[in-house]
Amino acid sequence: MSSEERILIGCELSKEFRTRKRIIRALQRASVEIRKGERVALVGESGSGKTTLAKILAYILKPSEGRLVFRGKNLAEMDKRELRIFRTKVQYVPQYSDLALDPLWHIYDSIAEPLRIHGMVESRQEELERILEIADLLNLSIDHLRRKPRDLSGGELQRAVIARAIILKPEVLIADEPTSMLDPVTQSRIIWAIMNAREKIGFSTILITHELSIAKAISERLYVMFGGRIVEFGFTEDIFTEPLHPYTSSLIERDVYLLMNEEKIAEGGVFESPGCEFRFRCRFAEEKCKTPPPEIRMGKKRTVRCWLYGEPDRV
Amino acid sequence: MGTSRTEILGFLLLSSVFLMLIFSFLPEEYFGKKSQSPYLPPSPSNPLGTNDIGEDVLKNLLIGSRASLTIGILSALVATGIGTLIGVISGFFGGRIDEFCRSLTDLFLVIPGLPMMIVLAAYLGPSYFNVILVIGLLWWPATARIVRARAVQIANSAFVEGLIAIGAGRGYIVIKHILPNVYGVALSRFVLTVPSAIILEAGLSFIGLGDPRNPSWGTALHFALTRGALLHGAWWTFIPPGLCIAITSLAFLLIGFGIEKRYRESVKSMERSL
Repeated sequence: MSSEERILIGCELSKEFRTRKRIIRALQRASVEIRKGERVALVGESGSGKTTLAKILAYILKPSEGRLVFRGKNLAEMDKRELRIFRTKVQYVPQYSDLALDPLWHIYDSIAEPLRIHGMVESRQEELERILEIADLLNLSIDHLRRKPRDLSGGELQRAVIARAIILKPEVLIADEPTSMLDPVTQSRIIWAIMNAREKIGFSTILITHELSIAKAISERLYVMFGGRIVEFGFTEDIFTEPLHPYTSSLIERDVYLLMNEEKIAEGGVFESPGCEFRFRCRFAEEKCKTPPPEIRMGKKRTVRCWLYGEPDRV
Repeated sequence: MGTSRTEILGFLLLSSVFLMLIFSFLPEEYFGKKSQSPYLPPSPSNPLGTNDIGEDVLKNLLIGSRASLTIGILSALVATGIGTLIGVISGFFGGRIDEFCRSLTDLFLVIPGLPMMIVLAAYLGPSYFNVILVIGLLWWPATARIVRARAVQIANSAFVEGLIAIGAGRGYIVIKHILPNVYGVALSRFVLTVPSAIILEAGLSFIGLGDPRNPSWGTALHFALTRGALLHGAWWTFIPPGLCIAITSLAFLLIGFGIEKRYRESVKSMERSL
């Protein structure tokens, strides 16, 4: 694949949140890239920094360090006009919540809002056509569009949120656990709706999830996050057939020991000492895990961050 | 959710107060004549008797409703306006701005309101405008706090994140989304601030810091006290204005509680239904 196909690149992104007592390192030197039309998934447990990464990629949060590059241009250096264009090209679907859309607005107006903000439509008629087209794609009826958020079910509301995100026909859609808190049937409907829309419009997707089954079903490439770092990435198929990082394999094999042994771990992505974040829960942990593990390339587009796979090629 | 019984009572009381306001614009000849002797007890010609300078108490009472209501409503409007503005700015922008606004709110909360108001009113001199300004400038912190809480909730909500990702500007988000969403709390705060303002105005007038050209119910109480109505046993000069203040305040309180309750229920049902 050639490099010009890469739409969005996050390079060594870090994010710190400062509270009065301490600094929370939510994200540490995470590098992500997404190509045209690609389906990428980010998996990890809560507190692993995946939401922070998603918000940085959507540029809702600014990274403390690192660069975010959209079509060869650093976002920090973009002027207002360029940033406005970026805002139409990269869209974000937030985690499902009861305030996913303005409770006072009709669904129709909420979905039309991006068009109105960017002055993308000339007339009401054109606006209506665009909205009906998108609504049809997401199985929302005219009756749904007339209602307010409180009169919709969770699944319907989340589909309306997705409609609002894709009405501008973006190039990248970042969906942050779009199905959490919804029941399994609704979950698969939402995922199906996103993938269906993706086929029609042709955007790339970055799906953040803690459900491996979803990640497996709808992604080509996978990033596994733990403790604010990307511990392993590669093609989804490769990772599922042969997980390298102990954390990844514990996720895939549902290793209870590794998943539950949490007493030593600091809460919410805070790791004061250097070294591997996973060592407290890792059965392979040794003395050298107290120093930061190397990132080791394992064949085709595959990287793992662990001491198990030998010394770094270059320090 | 229908209108509750307390609200209906509130509206009835309020409409009777507004009836007084309308009657106050009746021509002179409908009121009792000015009498030569002070403190005449109630009689057919002066239904509520006369005061210290022989004026008809009923006429003064009706005219007093103008100042009391205007000052009460306008200063509540000023206070709610300031409180909403500070609350929204504080809640939406967060960070340093939020810290500054919160300190300012706390500062104004610990200022003892009434003494400060007396000092300011005495310093600025008695006038309609000054009374409104003084009450408005000192009575906003509670509103600011409540509005801020709601604004924070909205500002951190998923839909505002979505809006930022869409490329909506901050001003746009505040005007189109935050303000309409705090309107309910702000409205109930406004209605609940009116009685405080009316009572404060009465207090200021009572100690002689009101606008003498626009006598209010507080002014009537002031003259009742200073001109010896109590010594004369002229209860008709001070009980009616006192009652009027109490009834008007009660009316606004009842309506305000109703609005507040309904707003809370609507927010709750919004959150529960999802």
